[in-house]
Amino acid sequence: MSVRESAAVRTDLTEAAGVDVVPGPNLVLGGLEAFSHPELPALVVAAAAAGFVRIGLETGGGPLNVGENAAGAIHVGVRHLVIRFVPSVADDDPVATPIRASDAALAGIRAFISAAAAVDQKVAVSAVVPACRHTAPLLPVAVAELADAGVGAVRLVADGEGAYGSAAIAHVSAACDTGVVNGVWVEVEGIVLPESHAAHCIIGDG
Amino acid sequence: MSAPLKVVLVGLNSPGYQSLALGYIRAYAQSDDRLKGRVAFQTLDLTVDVDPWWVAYRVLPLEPDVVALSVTCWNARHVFDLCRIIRAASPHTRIVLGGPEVGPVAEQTLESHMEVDLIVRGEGEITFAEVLYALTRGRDVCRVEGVTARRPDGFVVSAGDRALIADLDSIPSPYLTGVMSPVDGGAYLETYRGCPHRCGYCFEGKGYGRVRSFSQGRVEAEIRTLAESHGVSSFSFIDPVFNLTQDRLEWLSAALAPYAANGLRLHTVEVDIERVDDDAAALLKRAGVCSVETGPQSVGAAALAECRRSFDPERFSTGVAALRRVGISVECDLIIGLPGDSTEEFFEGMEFCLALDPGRVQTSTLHVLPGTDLWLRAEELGLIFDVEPPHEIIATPRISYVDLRRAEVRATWIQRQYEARL
Ligand code: SF4
Repeated sequence: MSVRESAAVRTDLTEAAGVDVVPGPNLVLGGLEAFSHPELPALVVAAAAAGFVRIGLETGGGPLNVGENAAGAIHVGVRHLVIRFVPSVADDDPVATPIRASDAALAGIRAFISAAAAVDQKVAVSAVVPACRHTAPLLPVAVAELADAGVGAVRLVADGEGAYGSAAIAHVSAACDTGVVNGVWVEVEGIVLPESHAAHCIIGDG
Repeated sequence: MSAPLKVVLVGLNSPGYQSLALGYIRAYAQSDDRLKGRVAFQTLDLTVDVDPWWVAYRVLPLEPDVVALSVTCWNARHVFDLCRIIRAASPHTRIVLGGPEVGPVAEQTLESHMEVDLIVRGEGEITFAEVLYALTRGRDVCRVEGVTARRPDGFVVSAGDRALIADLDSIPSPYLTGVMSPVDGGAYLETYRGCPHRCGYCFEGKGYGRVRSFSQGRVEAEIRTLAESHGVSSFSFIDPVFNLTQDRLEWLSAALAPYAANGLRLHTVEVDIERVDDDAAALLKRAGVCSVETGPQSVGAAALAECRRSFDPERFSTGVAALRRVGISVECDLIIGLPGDSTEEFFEGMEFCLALDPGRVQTSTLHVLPGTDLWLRAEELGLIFDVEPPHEIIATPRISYVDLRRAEVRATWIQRQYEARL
């Protein structure tokens, strides 16, 4: 069984969420949740044996908090993470909902980065965040939180149909600026930003 | 005989570095017969991350008559903080500065930093020894060639320039004299001064003109002593271009080869990559080189012309490939914010370098350094930069402040992606 036959794979980091192309061969395993694949460690090992030099996983991030997943991923050869990140707000009742869904993802990112640091291994973590009119106000905070967790780039992807009002565009632009001041590169796909922030827009399908 | 003049040399280095400059000026002054028994030296080789208050805590108990520091754009703020503290706590102590950050702007520096007494311009070894001689004899230091100083009446005056040192071997080796000892198995070596190139952003080509070399015998003695008696296993050559000529490369390779065979390694030597072919790569490998640093700094025609740099993509690629074939990692350097460059051209440069898969791509933001060609032409070129060290570029006619910051962040992410690999 080849790596290609056994998983949803992407050979281009850009296609998954990486913002820029680096020489390969590179590979991202996932599609949606890499850790749901029962043979994930074997797949990564096979990918490394096949000559891929940058191997990434697409994940919601939460599974990295489970057991030895973070350290294990580093150990078998994962060097890139693409986090599917959905911003969420804290419930009014912190007892009823003590942890936001996005907190698990942030904790997972931290676990992966500290596992890499423990063995002096360089890794790159990016996040893909859906952006719609309703979530737009959450985006600047989401970018700040991702930056604090150690993410190096965020891709904000238009989610849903319809035009974005000026308020939503202002939030998306603010998210880009939040990224820059926190050392995180933010790119925006599917939303037209004003000229002042056009540098963050991906032309075409990215 | 009166008590010797107490001289404290303070190095505020980047972490992991030692100040070779202070080693040279101390080795030279200590060898000056006129100063024997009249001057007592002490060196504090510290790092720039130590709070200036704690550096002063180390300096002041030594009750120095003279404190001397070498200033670069990277340590200047700390140096001036330290000088202010020393001046306040010990008004009689003379504070002497030298180095590329202050030499080219000596008068302006003294005008704006009342805590500093004297600046040694250009090469420091002879001038500093002459300053000490003048002080021990009660003579006027303002007359010493290469000095800019504040007179007792407060006026700042500059004596004439001092000629470059013709015979570099007249500077005793800091290692062979025991003035400096290697730290953590590593040592810095310099085999020549000056640079044949004239890159607009660099002080090296502008400041020291023609190339002058230490003798082969002197360099070989340093290599031998460091490797055999001090167990040094890692050399950092600070030469601007390690493969300056084929003859030099052959000689250095032969001198280093016996030690390289026993594990000696050279890290991040600067090379002119367009002159590296398979033979040169083999010589570098034989010398123990495991990584090199090189340009192109930019691939944009306008920026290259403004900076007086040449760039031949084909020869550059050939050089990287030759080094990769023998297992030498290449660090390609690019500068954000060069005059003439747009952000698109900067990222084209990154794309070019990444496509070569060199091992490392290092980006940095332009610093408009005192005394460099870009510093002299800043107004003409429309370069807006921070007048305070480290003189980072704020905006250029083609890249706004905001786009420079964006480019820095995006470049860092690309680097991180590249380096995260098996
Ligand atoms: S950048 Fe390098 S090659 Fe250019 S002048 Fe400076 S030392 Fe010489």
